[in-house]
Amino acid sequence: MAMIVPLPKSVRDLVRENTHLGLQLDKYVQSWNEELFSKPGDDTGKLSERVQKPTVELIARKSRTEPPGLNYAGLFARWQAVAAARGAMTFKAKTVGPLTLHLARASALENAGICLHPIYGFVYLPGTGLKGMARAFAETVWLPTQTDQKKAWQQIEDVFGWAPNPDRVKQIRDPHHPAEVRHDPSDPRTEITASSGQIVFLDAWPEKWTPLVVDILNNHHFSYYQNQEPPGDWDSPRPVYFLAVSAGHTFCFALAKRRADVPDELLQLATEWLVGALEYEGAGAKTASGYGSFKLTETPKLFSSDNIDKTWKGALAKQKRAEFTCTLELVTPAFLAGPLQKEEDCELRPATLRGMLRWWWRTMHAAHVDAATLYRMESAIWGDTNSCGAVRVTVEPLDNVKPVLFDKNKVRDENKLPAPPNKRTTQGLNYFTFGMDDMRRENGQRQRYQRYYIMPGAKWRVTMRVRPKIYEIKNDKGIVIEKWDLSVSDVLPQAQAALWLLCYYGGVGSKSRKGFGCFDVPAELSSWNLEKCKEVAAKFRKACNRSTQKGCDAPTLETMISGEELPVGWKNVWWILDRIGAAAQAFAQQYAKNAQKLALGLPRNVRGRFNLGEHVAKTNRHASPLIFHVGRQNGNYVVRCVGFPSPELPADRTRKASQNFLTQAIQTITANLKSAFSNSQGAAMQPARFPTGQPGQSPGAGARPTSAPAPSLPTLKSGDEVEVTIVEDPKGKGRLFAKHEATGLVGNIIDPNNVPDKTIGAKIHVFIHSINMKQKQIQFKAKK
Amino acid sequence: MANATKPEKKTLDQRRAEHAWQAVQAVNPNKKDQEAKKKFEEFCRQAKKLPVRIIASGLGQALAFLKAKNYAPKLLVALGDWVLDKRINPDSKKPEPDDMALLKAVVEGDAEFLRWATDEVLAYLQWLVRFADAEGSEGSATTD
Repeated sequence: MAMIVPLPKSVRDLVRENTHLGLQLDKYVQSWNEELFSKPGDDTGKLSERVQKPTVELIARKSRTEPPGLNYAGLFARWQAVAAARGAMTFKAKTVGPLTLHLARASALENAGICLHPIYGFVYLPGTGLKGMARAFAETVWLPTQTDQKKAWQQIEDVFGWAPNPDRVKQIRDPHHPAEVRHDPSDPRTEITASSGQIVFLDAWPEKWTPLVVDILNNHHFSYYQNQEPPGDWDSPRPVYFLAVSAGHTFCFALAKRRADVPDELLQLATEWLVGALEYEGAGAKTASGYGSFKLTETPKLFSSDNIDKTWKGALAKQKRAEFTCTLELVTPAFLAGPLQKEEDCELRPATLRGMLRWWWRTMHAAHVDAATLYRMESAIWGDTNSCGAVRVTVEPLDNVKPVLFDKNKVRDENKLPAPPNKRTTQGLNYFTFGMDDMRRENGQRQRYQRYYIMPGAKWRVTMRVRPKIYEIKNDKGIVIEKWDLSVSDVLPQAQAALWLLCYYGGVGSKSRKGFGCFDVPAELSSWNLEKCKEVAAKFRKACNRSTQKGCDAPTLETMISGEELPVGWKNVWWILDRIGAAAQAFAQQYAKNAQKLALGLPRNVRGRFNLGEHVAKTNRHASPLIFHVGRQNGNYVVRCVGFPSPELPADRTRKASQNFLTQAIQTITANLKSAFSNSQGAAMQPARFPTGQPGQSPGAGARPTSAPAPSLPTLKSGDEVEVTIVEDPKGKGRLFAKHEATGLVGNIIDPNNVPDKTIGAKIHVFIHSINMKQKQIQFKAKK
Repeated sequence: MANATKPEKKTLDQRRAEHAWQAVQAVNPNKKDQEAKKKFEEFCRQAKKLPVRIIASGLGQALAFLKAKNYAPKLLVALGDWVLDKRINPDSKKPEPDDMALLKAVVEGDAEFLRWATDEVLAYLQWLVRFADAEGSEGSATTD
């Protein structure tokens, strides 16, 4: 069911000739399919997957090379000539993270836009935006550091111009504001009510033709951000794909005097404000998520970086900004990814980190405020679609950030992980890395799908820059009825507490609740603990004038169940992760045919009655309420497990049922792990090995630990019950096939109607109907 | 003065305004029905955004987007009814078309039709947006 460009056929036939990326993005999107859209009740919310994703992918693909006949070098030379003729001062700066802009521009796509040149279609930064960001930096960062406020304000007005608008009238009337009526210097009786700015901000062009990349924004709590429903772990993520420029691309900026007699001082000030804004605050959209950071690579003539440093330090001293920097070091492998889930986007994206910080931040407050208040408080700190958050997070890779292809078998073999105790049990590591290395059907063919991970030891410098913010409450007409000023010292501890919680209990990336993607608590946060997080949270609610009220149905620190902290003497992190997976699996196996297992999260293929809450029943999803963490303490590994009782697993607003079940789960798993960790097995004491898993490499040593039986194909016979994974019909005939992981045998299920969950990837228990190991043939029979 | 007694023939713009007014009234909830009110607000919001979308992305893209999101089906119906029928036949008694009629006409028509329809939709939306603005803000003012 192909989509078409909704244009008359005569025009449609010509669209393929188009080489202009901007036209492709705005006007030639394949967004229409009559058949698809005429179905009543069809899920139209999939615009992002059906239309937006293919469109931005196409544009990213087309942008890899310069369109034929464009000659960007020639255009750029002309831009330089124009700037030189204008007497402009130029400088160059390089993107240090992703850059995107004009996302919210009204078009036929949602938040997919980027600013492309109207004539030539390359990405650029419009002068209007640069002027705006320079002004914002001047007013909010530079001005407070100046001793002569009136003179400083006049300089801002000289650079940017002024007009008799309501804002300025208000500023002049305000005795605390440095704005004053401006007079003609040659005739002090004449008031000048308006003036254009003395400095011209030119568009910034890329030094070379710049390719675009597909980026992703993944809203994990749509109904919370949209309708202020509780942000429970039952929501389905809603990805939005957009275009961005990646790190390492150079742009040329130019500023010029409007007339020759404009003093140099103004040009220098404007340049320093612009550079300060580019380096400290970011350009374009999503700056709070670290987008739009630049680093100067060619300094302008009139410029002093000392001035910018002084301005920034002054703003910190005046509490106009606050800053916190720390180094995060990875303790366990992290399955990080962007939209491609490939090697090139296996990196720690600031957006990923922010998403996790938001989650942990909510746990500090959810027990004390309702969902609408939580949303408002979160908006103040972390931002929403209407206003920028108070915390900007930037991430800079330091050492050892190396993506490695995950090959579960090689990891198992090279690290000599112990084999599972019986054929009904899968490898602990495989149990907890489900979906990171498996077979999938792509383009009609079964293909191995493997994710990349970053190895432990990788380090990033994380900077959080904080600005003052207002916590405000609006009525339903959008009028502010209550507002409270939040200083940077109110805001920064919120971000620090969230980071501490993330580093102490959580992780980032896929499988972050299974002990993957865990960071060491950075030295800068070593004085923090759970009590301190709760204290700063209470203080913040007080600053927002929110007294404790009934909380909302989201994970909270107040109901969090903490298991015993387990120090581990082992050196091999794969062993630790494997044993955690094995212990969790052993616990789940106790409920093999019991619907109570659903209390450990969904989707799960279990039959029987279980009273799910309304949200979970609707989405058939709930992230695991258990979070495993592998941290470091005094040079050794330490394992922590916490549980967040859910009001919906089962439906019980008091969370008692969930609490009891999770307490039992944590106790059982902890006891199991304690006994496992007490054995100093040979391979566990060896440093972990991280096989690259790249194709063409020889398989790992393959030797299994002496303590466990050597791997051999399990002897199976007809009538045995086995756990299998539902897979695609190898011949694509739509029959129901399953794979027995331990033997690798794939066969059909002879009575598919008795299989409750036919989803690809679902794990179910079946009987072996017939088996021939020599010919590698197998057939399964569903359990009735 | 003799003309004053005769009913004046309405200009095209007056007819656009009349149709747009009726289209807005058809969605404007009279009762305090929260659900209907929400739909009306969405109708107004989408009507206001539509001209910019058309200018940025073209009529077909803008209509396809609205249809895919299903934000304001009545808006698509009103546009189709005006452009395809009432604009040409003021006394037409034909029932309103479905919400994909105009889009289908764009895809099946020629470039000439697309240019004409785009101009007509933009002219019609000038009125519709005014009424949506006026009625929409009045609607929210009476919520308390």
